[in-house]
Amino acid sequence: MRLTRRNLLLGASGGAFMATVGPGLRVSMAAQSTSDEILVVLFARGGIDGLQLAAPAEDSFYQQARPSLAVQSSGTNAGLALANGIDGVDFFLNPGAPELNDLYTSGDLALIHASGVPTENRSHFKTQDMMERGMADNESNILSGWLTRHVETLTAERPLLSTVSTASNNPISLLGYPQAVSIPDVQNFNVSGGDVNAAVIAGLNSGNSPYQQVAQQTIEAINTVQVKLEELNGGVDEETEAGPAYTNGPLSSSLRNLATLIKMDVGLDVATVDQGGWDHHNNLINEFSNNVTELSQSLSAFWEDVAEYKDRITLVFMTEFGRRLNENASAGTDHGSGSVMMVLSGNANGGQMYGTWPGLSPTDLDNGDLAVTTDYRQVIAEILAKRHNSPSLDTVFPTVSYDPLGIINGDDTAITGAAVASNTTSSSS
Amino acid sequence: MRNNRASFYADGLRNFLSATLSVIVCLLIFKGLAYTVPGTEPLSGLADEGNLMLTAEPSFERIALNRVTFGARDVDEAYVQSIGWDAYVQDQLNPPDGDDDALAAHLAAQTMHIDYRGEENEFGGWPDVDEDRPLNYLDADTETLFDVAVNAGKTVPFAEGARIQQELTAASWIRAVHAEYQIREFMADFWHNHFNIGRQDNNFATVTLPVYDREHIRPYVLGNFREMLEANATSTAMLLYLDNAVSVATFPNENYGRELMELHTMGEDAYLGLDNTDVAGPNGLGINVGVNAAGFTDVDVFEASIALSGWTVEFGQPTGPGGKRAPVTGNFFYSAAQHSPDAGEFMGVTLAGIDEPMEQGRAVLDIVAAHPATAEFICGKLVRRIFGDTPPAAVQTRAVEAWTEHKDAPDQIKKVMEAILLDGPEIGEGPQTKVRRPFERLMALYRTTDTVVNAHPWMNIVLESLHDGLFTWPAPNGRPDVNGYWFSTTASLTTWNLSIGLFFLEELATSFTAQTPLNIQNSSIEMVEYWLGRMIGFEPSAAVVNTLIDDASSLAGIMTSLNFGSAKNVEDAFMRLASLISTTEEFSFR
Repeated sequence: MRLTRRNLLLGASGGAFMATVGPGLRVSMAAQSTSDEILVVLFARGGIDGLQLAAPAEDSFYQQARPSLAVQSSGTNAGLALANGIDGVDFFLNPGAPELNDLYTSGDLALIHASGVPTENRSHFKTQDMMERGMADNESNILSGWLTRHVETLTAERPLLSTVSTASNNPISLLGYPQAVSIPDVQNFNVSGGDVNAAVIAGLNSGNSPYQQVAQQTIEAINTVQVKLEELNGGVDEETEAGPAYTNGPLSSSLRNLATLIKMDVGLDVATVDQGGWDHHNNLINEFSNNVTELSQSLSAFWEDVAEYKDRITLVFMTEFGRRLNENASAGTDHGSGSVMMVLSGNANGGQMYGTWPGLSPTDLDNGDLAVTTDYRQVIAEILAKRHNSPSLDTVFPTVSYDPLGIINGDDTAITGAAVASNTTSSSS
Repeated sequence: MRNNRASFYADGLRNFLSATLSVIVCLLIFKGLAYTVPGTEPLSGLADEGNLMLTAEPSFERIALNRVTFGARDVDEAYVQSIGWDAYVQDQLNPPDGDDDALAAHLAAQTMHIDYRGEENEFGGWPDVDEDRPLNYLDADTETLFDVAVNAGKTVPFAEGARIQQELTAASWIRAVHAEYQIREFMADFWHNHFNIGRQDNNFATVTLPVYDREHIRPYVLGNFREMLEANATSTAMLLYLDNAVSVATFPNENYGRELMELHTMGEDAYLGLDNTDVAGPNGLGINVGVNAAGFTDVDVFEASIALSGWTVEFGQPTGPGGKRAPVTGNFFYSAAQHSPDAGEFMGVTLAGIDEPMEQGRAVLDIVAAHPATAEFICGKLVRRIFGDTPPAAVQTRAVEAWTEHKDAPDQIKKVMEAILLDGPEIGEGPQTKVRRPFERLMALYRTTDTVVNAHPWMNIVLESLHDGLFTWPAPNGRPDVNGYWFSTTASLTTWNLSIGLFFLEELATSFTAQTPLNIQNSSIEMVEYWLGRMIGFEPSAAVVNTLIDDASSLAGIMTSLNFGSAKNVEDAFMRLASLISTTEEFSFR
């Protein structure tokens, strides 16, 4: 049932088709990414409770504040001990995430605790919006997404499918980047009526307006994906292959889709993935457990699926904020501040935790929340500098000075030189 | 209360949707090649391409109608030209209570099939069902609907919860296409997105959405905002969706209090941070108190949560000493047992002395509803919904003035609409820069092709992946209402495929062949022109005209079908022509 080049041409009628689909198709087929590196941004929406994900289970303030929720170091609800904690504190991974523990132990996964937006703001929408634009509170408004600024600093000509959202629409981090393509399901990425209708739609939308450009891009993307999918599936009977252990949940669906796109080798170098459902005001124990299991099993399956690519992939996991230290009366936690970021990569200095532990005593807290001691942008900036040869971090994150934590391997001398030259107030002295 | 998020319709129907769309795609890939002909007639009339009878620009009435309806038909345009725009708007802004008679009769005549197997269990179970059933849930009361969630899996199958959503969505399609009072439907769509509830969230909230739509949104869409706000704050669905129902005296839940200010009234730009020290307001006003304050802080969020604690629904919770409990009806009630006694100052206004039930909460609603930031925020959203990303400044100014002047009037929002639609010429002036959402594109396709929309369960799921359509946006902020949000490959592709594919549902009933004048059914140019006139109302770009005329003689084209195909081939080819017209920029913008 798929489109092929052959019936694509069969269905072409008139000059409009050749003028629109033809050249774009050639560009998209010919081009390859200038960098082999693939950046995956996984946004956990709703505000993940970092103190439940990586719990300081032996901290008495933590245990007192969460009598019905706290992860324990042993016994009932015991977490998985994480080696190499921070500032002498031992952390315990949520018991629902044994696969994450394996990835951590293998050295591919690093955790950054007490990270987030440095200025506290408890609004989901505002904080997600700020993080996707690369801002913090009280900074002048930046209208484009940080991923948009990143890809625009790379090269002028980028392959058609270099920038993909696996959600049904593009995230704010790609705001203002019309070339971003959303492909929630690569197998059903096609026009009803096939190539005949695709050619007519291309002819109807052959102008240069933003709407028409998206229409043309859509037809080109379809053609490219169909050709590549046929190559990828050629001769392989998927039914008989025992694949990675994805779940039936939405995150697995997105990551499986992404793995297929990566394996197509279409020049993908930036991808965004969303996981929703982390806003656990009520009944946190059960709901967090469901979500963290989906997260853990999905990431593990994805990593197995793209094993051949893992030295080219850096996945950064982020959320808008953590939760209040004290549990609420509904056995949940309300919006807070610091949370956990994760970096998954063949190049990660994993098996370690990063950051500065602010402590949980009443005077350590920030309005009742885990304080943010690591700006989320430092984690991303290090990845962009060391893995993605970002030529101008000060365009991507104009208000942040480069101050890497050592989470990942790579050469950032271009940036450190540039940063010293262009920014005399650098905090990385 | 928030149990089992991924239950009910969610997973099963999402998988069904995915499979359904695959079937549509696969079925239709070869649709155009379903029959083969030896050759096609050469085009005869290309020399006449410059002679289309369509006007170069849309009329004032066409532009104005498209901005505040679900699609201007040629008959609407002619009607407004005959009675005048002012008279049309005055009639539209004074609708009867409830649906117009023809719409009400059409809705009452609807049935959708439902079948499931019976089950016996310790709670009593349920019998086999296999029937074509009217849309009975649309008129059901809270208690009846709440029972569907309370006893789900016990005495009511989960399929009934899904059915509630299917009926609501089908009704939203039918109303959008067939309502005589189109501006009211436009406003209902606007307010639903403003007071959004994501049906993914909480079974107990989502089962009551027919009441939310019928009693808490629709009666107020042209009414008074303060009254609408209290209706919303006391609705079962919103109280459960934003957790105010489970707020308790010792720990007031802040979720509703925050969204009340950030999303429902003053807007996120009016959020000034954690407290009111050393913060300058976003508009440079600095911090003041009460309704003169530039905005709100976390202190105000907490105070609002205290003031509104106790506004809840009956779900069997304790209501006092001695084991007294509320019944399980889902109905709103004020629970003194859940009300925090710790009221302080909200935006500079002292609430501490207010002791009457609900009056602290009402004082909060009074302050936020009357706040200047609320007028700016909501009028700004409304004029962008009508005009697009950069609305005329004069319209925004008039809207805010009317909002403020009539803030205590029972028809405040109607006055705002009069200021927008009648007190200046902008509504009928181009350019048309607002992109139609996928839902709007489909509804306009059906309106402009005189398609009779009947209820079908697919309506409930086909726009889910784009989070368009009633209650499909998962977060309380509603869909972003900017063009750029819809400029994505997937939004384009999904919308095209639905335009092409859904026409093959029997429930979307029309006859293109009968509508197309017989005396032009031998001219590809005149047929293309006719349907462009119906759907767009002016002459689109030469690329559009030429592509459609070329295609008319292709294997899948209308001329080929008329010359060589069956009656069904002809009808399918007309449907395809209309679907393809709907993919153009000229159709996709209003």
